[in-house]
Amino acid sequence: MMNTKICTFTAEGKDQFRELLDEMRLETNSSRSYADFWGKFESTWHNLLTNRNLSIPWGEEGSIDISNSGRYDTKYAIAEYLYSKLGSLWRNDRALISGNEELWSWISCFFLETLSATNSNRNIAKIHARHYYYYSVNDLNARGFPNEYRNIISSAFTIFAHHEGTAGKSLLNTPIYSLGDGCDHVLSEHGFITSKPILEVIDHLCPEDKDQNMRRLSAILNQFRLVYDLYEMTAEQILEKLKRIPEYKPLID
Amino acid sequence: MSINSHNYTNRKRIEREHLNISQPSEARTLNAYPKLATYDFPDDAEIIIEVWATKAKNSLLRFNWGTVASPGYSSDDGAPLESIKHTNRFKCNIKVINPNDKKILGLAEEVEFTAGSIVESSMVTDILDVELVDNLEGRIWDLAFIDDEQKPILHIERKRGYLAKDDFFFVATSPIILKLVLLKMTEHCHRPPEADGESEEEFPHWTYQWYQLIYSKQGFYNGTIEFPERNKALETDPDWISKRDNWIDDVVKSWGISKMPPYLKRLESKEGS
Repeated sequence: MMNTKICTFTAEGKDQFRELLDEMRLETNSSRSYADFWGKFESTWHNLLTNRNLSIPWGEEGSIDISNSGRYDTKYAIAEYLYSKLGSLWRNDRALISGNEELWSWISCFFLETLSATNSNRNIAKIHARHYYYYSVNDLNARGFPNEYRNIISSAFTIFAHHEGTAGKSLLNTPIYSLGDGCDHVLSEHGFITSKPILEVIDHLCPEDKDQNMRRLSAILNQFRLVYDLYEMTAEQILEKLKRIPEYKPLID
Repeated sequence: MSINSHNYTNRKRIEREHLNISQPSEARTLNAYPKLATYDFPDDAEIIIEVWATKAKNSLLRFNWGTVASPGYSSDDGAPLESIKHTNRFKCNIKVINPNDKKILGLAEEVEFTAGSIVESSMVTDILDVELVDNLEGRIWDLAFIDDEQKPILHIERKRGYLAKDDFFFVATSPIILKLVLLKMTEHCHRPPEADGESEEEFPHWTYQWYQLIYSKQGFYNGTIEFPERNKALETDPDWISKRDNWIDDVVKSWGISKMPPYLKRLESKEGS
């Protein structure tokens, strides 16, 4: 647990974070308890966050306090906390925050003790593919699609920040320990999370991420996006259009 | 569940040549001067331009671009893209919207443009980026390999940036550029990227793209030589270097046969006029 100032990684810090994640991922493929796992990596992780050759204070006068001692089981909880720290910067100059590789990789690293568990009991450790933690706007998968949106913490913050927590709760009230199928598909669609009405529709029709319901709704909304200017429509107008889909009609009437 | 009924829209495709998107070399702005007279849209139809960073879909910005009768952005300086700082490569959608029911009447989708020094190139292939740079120490162009992945990028001297779309430049330089890229590809790609469902992390992304460009069904290579796998080849196969060189020569030859004719034809017609 740490209380410190928000930092960004240096180039060397980014390299070492990538290496740490790769080592951790190999380790979580074995049946190792969370306690053993974290015990093995804690000193490397701590050094990554505190060594000034690897992490340097960020923000106005380098003075934004941050703590990872709270309990953050959901994306909403961590996004709400980060918005309390970064909200004013987001409102004033979001380009400082959005797409900032050094910042989001550092913040993801800072919360790695939480992210590397599979649930709040912290019995088992699990590190997924690197891009869920290491934030990069240049990181494309083999099919040429970006992985940027898959950074768990950055995406949670972005959804929360766009609407100050008033929309997208079905995405945010999901475990912090993985991105989740619903989040992955909604985030991958073009600008959906920037549209409050679209997120309200998702909240209404898919209050929980289960049975790939968000994946289906995202695909349908994406088709509608080519027919209607969804971003200019209210949630009610979008729901009215979706009534023709049998799966949603009873949820809308 | 059927969603087929939503596909028929009467939406018109707006051709890129009617958009007139400017590509400022310095300011991070977008300007477009759409000419939509030929599409027969209602005068009061609204024009919306959506912009996002190529690699970050959720950076979406939307700009009202007036109406079909009176298109344009509210500022002569263009629409600001300052809130997307981490790239200068963008895509945009241009939509013509019925103001009453918000139906899309016309659409140009995923049009690439740049604001800043990097321009997307259609010169060698769609997947080779071109960057205009200030000082090439007397050279007009240079091929650089950047980032951890050693991705190829074509540098062109900024004051000769027009060469990026110049037919003669293409004809004269693309074979050697391709040769250099293929050489680098064989260094970085020990096996064909599509082999046995390799994970995406196995290969640099750019090698996968180039491999597809060469070998996919839509690829240009019409030869039969397989990709020269380098896996331990240097230790076990003394002929690997000559196999590699044969492959490169054959791919470049196919490139010339399949890609050069339209450029040569345009050059010939210019000479004739």
